[in-house]
Amino acid sequence: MKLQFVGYSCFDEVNRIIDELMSSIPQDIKRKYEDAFFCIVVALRELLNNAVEHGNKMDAEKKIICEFSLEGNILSLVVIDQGQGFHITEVLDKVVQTCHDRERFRGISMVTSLGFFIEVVGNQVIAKLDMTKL
Amino acid sequence: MIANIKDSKLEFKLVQDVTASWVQGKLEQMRRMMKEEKSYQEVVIDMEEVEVIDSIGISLIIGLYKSSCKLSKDFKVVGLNGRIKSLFEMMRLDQVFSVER
Repeated sequence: MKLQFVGYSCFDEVNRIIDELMSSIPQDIKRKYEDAFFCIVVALRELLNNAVEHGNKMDAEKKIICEFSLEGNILSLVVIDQGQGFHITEVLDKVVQTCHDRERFRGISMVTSLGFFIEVVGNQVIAKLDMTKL
Repeated sequence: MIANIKDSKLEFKLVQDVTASWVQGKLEQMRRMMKEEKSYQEVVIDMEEVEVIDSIGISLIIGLYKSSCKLSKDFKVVGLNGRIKSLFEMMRLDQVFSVER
């Protein structure tokens, strides 16, 4: 199963994309992975927020693209923005250096803590999850 | 969001998704209330009606905690559903401030 959504760079659009995604997923899949979908939506929201805030610098004229696919037990979330890309090690290094009560630098670490493997290719963030490991 | 003072507690009851689209501007608004009110000893964030939160929402909660510390007030978060409480624990926020279901 593969779904794609496109939106503008604002947080209201993030809400809209997630609502549309959840409406598009077949009920039998939602039932099968009911508990997992809470984590998936949390992760996706973080990736989309990052695209809006950091990738597209809150420029509402720029677009974000979200791709959701489920092949067997492997879920893939791909979020594409119109920014310059980043090195994930730089983000994760900042997380290591800060403490639990930090107010920022939480998004990517939340996604990895939920069990996703993240890869950054240019301006695409690819997050994969083995649903059997949840 | 509903704010009231009762039994020496300044309570903020959050009644919507605590996500990026809602959070903007709220921290300053809530901090102003915390500074203006004097007759309380503890800040309580009631999240019983919250089903969705993101890292920007968590930043709001941490910001309120830090403001409470600066004002020498106690702080706790209550009413979390099981999933959001697990999220807070995963992020070790339960090691920073009191978190209750």
